[in-house]
Formats: sequence, structure tokens, C-alpha cells
Amino acid sequence: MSAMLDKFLVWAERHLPESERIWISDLRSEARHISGNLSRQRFLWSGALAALGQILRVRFGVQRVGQSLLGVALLMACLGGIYIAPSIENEVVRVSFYSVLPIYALTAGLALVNLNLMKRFAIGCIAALGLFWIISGLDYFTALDAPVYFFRAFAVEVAFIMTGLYVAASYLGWAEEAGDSQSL
Amino acid sequence: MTRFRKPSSSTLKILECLRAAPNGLHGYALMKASGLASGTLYPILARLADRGWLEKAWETGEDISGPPRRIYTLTSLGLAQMESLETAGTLNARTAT
Repeated sequence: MSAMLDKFLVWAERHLPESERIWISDLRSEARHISGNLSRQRFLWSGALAALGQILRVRFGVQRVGQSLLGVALLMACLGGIYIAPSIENEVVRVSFYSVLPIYALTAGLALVNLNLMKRFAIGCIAALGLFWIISGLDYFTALDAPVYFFRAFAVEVAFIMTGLYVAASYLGWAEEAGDSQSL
Repeated sequence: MTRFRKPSSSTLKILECLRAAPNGLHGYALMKASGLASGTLYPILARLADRGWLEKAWETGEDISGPPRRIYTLTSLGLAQMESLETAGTLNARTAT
């Protein structure tokens, strides 16, 4: 394993610009002094992940890497949701749960393709959910024999998640502009 | 125009460890002393060396075995920068977290 990680670091060294790869050879030479296979592997793993992060940042940029991670995380959440949903016994909760999964899936797709579109979609969802929250609070609906309070609470929850995603997407844009790599 | 940014808490930890070891430390010892992962430590060391805050030299001596190894030492510029950070109150506030 150590030899494989070392090979990866050599490969990373070749694919990074001079200013970004200067630390890799020092790390590799230090690793040869570490006794204990596990300690050496941990040392090399951390270095390999850092090198991979640098390669991705240099090749694709902070925003592109971040939005891919965001999209993948959301897709994973959707897959988890598909797995969990059938085990929900209450039909209202199950249907609500299923109905929101395509929204997350679409958000994930947009995050992978275009972050600005994703932000607009998130704003649209938040607005629609807010409108739903207001309308469902009207006397006509509260008098109905339906779990209106649950729907309203569910709408608030989804709106919070979409707000979090909007903030994350905005941060990625700022991080790209700030150029974090030059900070200490 | 270049903006001045406060060093991160990881950077400050490294500087503190190097100040406590005037003869310098090699990477693994510095990693143990600072509690940072190697993937965090080495890129910061490279940036600090690039800015002249620390100096890296190959380990020398008769009882050295194995491949060459870097020893990191704080420079006078690094020490001065740490003092100015202390004056500004950045150092104690950030390393305490």
C-alpha cells in the first residue's frame, strides 16, 4: 500500500505546477523515515489526499470541485431516501417524502451542471414553499380533514434545506473569486 | 493590491511548535507536535518557506541513516511576524481554539 501511495504522489508531482508540488518530494522523503507500516501509510494517505485535492483544484477550480461534491452528496441523499421511503408506514409521510425526492434530484443535477441555475431553482423552491405555507394556513385548508400542520412543517423543512444549499452554492462562488490557495 | 490575511490556526500551531524548537524539527516530529495531518502540514510548510518565514535544510550529521530528510527552522522574519501577530492578539486567540 505504501508503495502504491508513493507512486501516486510521484504521479501527482508530475501533474502539478512547480509552485504547487514543491512539498510532495519533502513528504515522500520524510515518509521513508517513519517506522511502522500503519504510521507510514497514514502519513502517505493524508499527503495523497492533499495532492489529489490540489490536482482537482488546479485543473477544475474550487467552484467546479465543490459543486461536483455538492451534487454527488445530494444524489447520495436521494438514493438513501429511495431506500428508506418504502419502510415508512404512514402513507401521508411516505407520499410527502417521495414527492420531495425529485426536487432534490433535480437540484443535484443542476448543481453538477450549472451552479447559477441551481441557485435560481433553490430560490424558486423556497418561494413556492413559502407561498404554500401561507396558503395552507388559510381557514379553508385548516378546516379540512387533512394533516395540514404536517404539510406546513414539511414545507418549512424543505425550505430550510434549499436555503442551506443556496448558501453553499453562493459560498462556492465566493471561494472561487477569493482564490484560497494563496492564504496562509 | 495584495490583501493581508490572518494566518490560519493550523499555520499558527506550526509556527508555535517551531518557535519552541530553535534547532528545528523534521516533518514527522512537527506533525506529532502540532497534531496536524501530513496533508495539511506540508503544503503550509511550503508556503511558509516560500514567504521566508521558515527555512528548510537537509539534515546533516554522522549518525544519519536512510534518505535525506528536511529540517524546518523558523527564520528571523518568521519570528518577527509571530511577534507582530502576538502584538495584534491574533496568535493567542487563534491557537486557543
